[in-house]
Amino acid sequence: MAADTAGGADERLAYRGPIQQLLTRPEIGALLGLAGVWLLFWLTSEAFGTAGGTANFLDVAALLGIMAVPVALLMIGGEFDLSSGAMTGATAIFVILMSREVGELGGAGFSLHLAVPLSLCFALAIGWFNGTLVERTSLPSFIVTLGTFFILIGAKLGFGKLFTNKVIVEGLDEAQGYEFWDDIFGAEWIRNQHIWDGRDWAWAGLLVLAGVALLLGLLEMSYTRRPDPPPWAAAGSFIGAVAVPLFGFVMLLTTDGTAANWLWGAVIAAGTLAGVSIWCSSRYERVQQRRTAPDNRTMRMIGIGVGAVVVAVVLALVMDATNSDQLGFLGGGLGRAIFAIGIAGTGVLAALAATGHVRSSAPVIGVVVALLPAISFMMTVQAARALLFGGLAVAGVVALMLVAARTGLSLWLPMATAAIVAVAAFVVQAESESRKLRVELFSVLLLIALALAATAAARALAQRRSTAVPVPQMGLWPRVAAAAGGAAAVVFAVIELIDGDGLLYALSTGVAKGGAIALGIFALGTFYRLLFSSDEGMGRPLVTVGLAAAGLALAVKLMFITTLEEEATQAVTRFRVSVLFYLLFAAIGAWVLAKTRFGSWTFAVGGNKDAARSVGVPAARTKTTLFMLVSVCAWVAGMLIAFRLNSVQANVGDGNEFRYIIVAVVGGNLLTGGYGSAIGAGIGALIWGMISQGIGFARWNTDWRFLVLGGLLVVAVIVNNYVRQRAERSQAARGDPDDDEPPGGDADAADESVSAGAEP
Amino acid sequence: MSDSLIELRNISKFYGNIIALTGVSTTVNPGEVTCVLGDNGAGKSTFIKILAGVHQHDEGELLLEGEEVKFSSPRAALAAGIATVYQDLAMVPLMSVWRNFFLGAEPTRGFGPFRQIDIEKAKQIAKEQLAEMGIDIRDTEQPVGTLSGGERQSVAIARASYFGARVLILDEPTSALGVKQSGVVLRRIVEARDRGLAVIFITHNPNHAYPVGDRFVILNRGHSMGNFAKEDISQAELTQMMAGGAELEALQHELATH
Amino acid sequence: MTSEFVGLDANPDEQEQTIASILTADSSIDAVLGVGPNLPLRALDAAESAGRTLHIGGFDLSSDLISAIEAGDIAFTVDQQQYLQGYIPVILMHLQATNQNTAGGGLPILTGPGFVTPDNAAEVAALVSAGTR
Repeated sequence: MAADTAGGADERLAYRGPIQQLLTRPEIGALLGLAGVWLLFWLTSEAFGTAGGTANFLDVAALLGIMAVPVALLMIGGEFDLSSGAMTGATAIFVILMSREVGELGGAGFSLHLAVPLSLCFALAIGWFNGTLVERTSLPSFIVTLGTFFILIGAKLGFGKLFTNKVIVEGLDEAQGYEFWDDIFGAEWIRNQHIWDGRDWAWAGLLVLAGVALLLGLLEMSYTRRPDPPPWAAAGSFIGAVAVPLFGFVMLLTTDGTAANWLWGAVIAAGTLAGVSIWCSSRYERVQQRRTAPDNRTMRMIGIGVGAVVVAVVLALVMDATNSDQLGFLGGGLGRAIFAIGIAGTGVLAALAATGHVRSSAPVIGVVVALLPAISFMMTVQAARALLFGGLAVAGVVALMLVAARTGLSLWLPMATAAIVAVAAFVVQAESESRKLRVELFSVLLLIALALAATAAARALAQRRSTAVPVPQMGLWPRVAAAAGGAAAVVFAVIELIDGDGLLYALSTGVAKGGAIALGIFALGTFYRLLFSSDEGMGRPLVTVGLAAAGLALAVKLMFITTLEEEATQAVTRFRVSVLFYLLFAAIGAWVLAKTRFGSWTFAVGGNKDAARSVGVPAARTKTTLFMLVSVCAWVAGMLIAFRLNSVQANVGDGNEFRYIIVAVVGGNLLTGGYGSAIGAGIGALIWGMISQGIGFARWNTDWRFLVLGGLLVVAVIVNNYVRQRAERSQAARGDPDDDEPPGGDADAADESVSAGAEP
Repeated sequence: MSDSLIELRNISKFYGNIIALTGVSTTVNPGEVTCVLGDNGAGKSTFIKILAGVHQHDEGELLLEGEEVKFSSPRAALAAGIATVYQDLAMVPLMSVWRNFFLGAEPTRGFGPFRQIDIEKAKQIAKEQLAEMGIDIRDTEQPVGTLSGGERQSVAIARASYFGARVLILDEPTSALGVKQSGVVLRRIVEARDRGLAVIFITHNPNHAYPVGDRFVILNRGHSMGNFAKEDISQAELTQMMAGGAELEALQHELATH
Repeated sequence: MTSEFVGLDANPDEQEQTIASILTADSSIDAVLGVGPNLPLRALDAAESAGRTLHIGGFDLSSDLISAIEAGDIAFTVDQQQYLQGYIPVILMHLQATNQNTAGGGLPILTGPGFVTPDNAAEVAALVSAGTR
């Protein structure tokens, strides 16, 4: 493993492709989970994937995420705060008590202009108290903050009853200065009031931009550029890769919906494939052909893959997508018998495993058998269908792609896979009753087929990169983009302020519009550099542009409504301001961790406090700041609760502290500190929101939700653990960038590095 | 003698009525390796702690560039250019090489609340500094936990020398390492010496000390057994003295009679 | 007519959104009875997001709930009259001990249920904010 033992023949850093790079991120497990959970409920429920459904689970995720992000930072710093949940309710009650004047003892009667900042100071004081006490006494933060937790619970109830004689503290809206603060903490974006008939064009345009940028970015990151690209390359492939599909896309939109017209679908596919082919063959080095003949194992895998996809499609068609009845096929005597057999099997297998007669994982089989009857009652027909369809289809495609990767660069297998997916899409579209299946699933399957085919074409044509290329200086472009975006942001914000909209609304509108302008200019610059300069390493900027455009497209779709939709619906979709804080905090948390000294120190005090201290990191100050960060966010959450509910019950927020910790762990943060991600915690909150709300959308019995969430936690921790070990292994492994080679000479090195990584 | 970087004259240290160290003298010069040898409990760690500012000596004189000093804290010793690489290394295993290299002294750019680490610069310097010591780290992004013991020692040494150390104290850098890894660390010691640093190499292994040392201080139960220049002592004599001569002979005799 | 019991989370935001998700998924629901004084208010918000007009009822009293009943958004709340539950037994015992009074003729003395509806909401509003009702 070590450079010095291997003789130092090749010290060059092995290039890791974009996928491998992504796989080493701490939040990758959460990201995959997020995709899986969304897919499950999207397939199961009609409303889950709509703007209304998104607003629904975002609302739950936001309040959770606002706290989960700082709790994750604190956890990375090696500490816990058990008072964080109670603190959210405490600041809410504090601000109401400070601002109300009821009876003889009824609160201080301050204006909110005083009461709100005062409650922030109150929160800061609690954070400082927690941090300082933990540092001074060197007691575990578990004990110290448990004390704070009980103090806060007692104070909430005690002072609430003392001042108002009730367990509900009421009437924030009667306080002085309510309007001003309500504009900030009670603000909401009501989608139905924002009609924009050009929305679908903006959404489609941004999606095309995102698709093109992401595809080109991935190609640029994956393949070696040729030194003398022929000049016709850019023009030719651009016409193919952008103009033709764009034309097809426009035709699709102007005819009857996104899906039905297969001709334009074919035009899009042909254009994209032609564009990718010309682009790859003209811009990148030609691949050196190496082809291996398919052996028996390969053929078997192909069979399994194709079979899985076919079975998935058949199941999707046979099972009823709208039936929310329980499956219940294992009821009565049979169910009871299977349950008994499962439990008995678990016991026997556990005993055998303990004595070393069978593998230690064997009892899992018994547990699964025992759970079958319960699952059969938990699952509705539509949920089972979604699980089976999604699981089988994904498994089938993954199997086929793995085979394709194993057999070198043969073109026919991935292309055949793409064709199978496309055929599946058409079958689903032709046969299905439900609109979701007919239109949405059809489009998604077609897109997947297209992506598979495009990557296959690229792989067959271009030579993989073997060395990393630094991102070139982007020169004036980012600066111009930032300047123009910033100026536009200020102008738009001032206009909104003059119009009399609230401060927060003006600010966020300004920033959003300025950001869109900045993105536009930056995207222009990136594409200009890509096409008209000899720079390499444009992959990263392209991916940035692609992700930003995709995010913007999503935001546009979620935030605006068309006249047609507005007239068709009774429902009111609203996004509360908590979503804004949630996104903001996750972004700030990620930036702080990755880019600032404080972030480095946070990792250090959590990973090895003594080491950090001995090289001059102010460990005590770092930890106290982290505790105060948690309390500031608890204050924000408390204000959001208070201005939303207007009256706050004494027990609001109690018990949420474990939820924050769970969400942070789901997001890939290490319980023991020193490793993790703020974005991951944000994703964890989103997963929680999706599951807790998706159960309602799917009309499953809500009594099961904790079972599902508990299962999620266990799975998340296992996946995260696996991903982290894999990440460390792939970073320690040298040479071949492909990770899937059989364990040989590298096995020892890998094990050693894992144990080294787990040392603290 | 006054042109030595550090000179110790009859340094003694008592913990209550326990004599931890008594009558130790030696000199430390730039571009030289001073080896401090001794078995467990010989007073090596007391010796380090006095130089690193953790403890203060009770008797004798500690001269830094001819002036008498007493370091009141580790920070004071560090400010005087004396850096200590402890056995447990002061590294955070889960953090990347470059973050560890710059931990506590990160280069920043930007201003006010937007101040952030200049990551490119930090990575580049870390890579350069490590390369200068002959360590080719494949990727400064990789966690320190994935490095071998020898590489970790090397990173710690490179870090100390980058941040302006004139004197480098290495506390048992080879004790937990295998033969090859130890060789790597010894090479680093020689490289640091060649760059003009004064190196104080604490070890209990004369086979490691002799090839790299210019001067040897041998401690036994808190007493100095002598302060030798390399030309005055052979490796065999060194081993003999360190183990307390007579005891070793007795042991050899005992083993031979079996 | 069918009814279904739904267990909800302790967090107010999750309560509201879960009710909304169930309303969205099942268009046959036409009434919600919230246990406690807070859930009817959450159900009211949820009904708005789902674009539905529901019959909503609740238990116990709070100022916000009374305002919503006065406005006609919530149909009624079942008032257990806890004040009576606590007050009457004590006063009866006191009277029996000091004055040898007996009341109720050996039968239970009912302290409720009282119903607060738009008709009588205005009358109890002041009493609720004083904390006696």
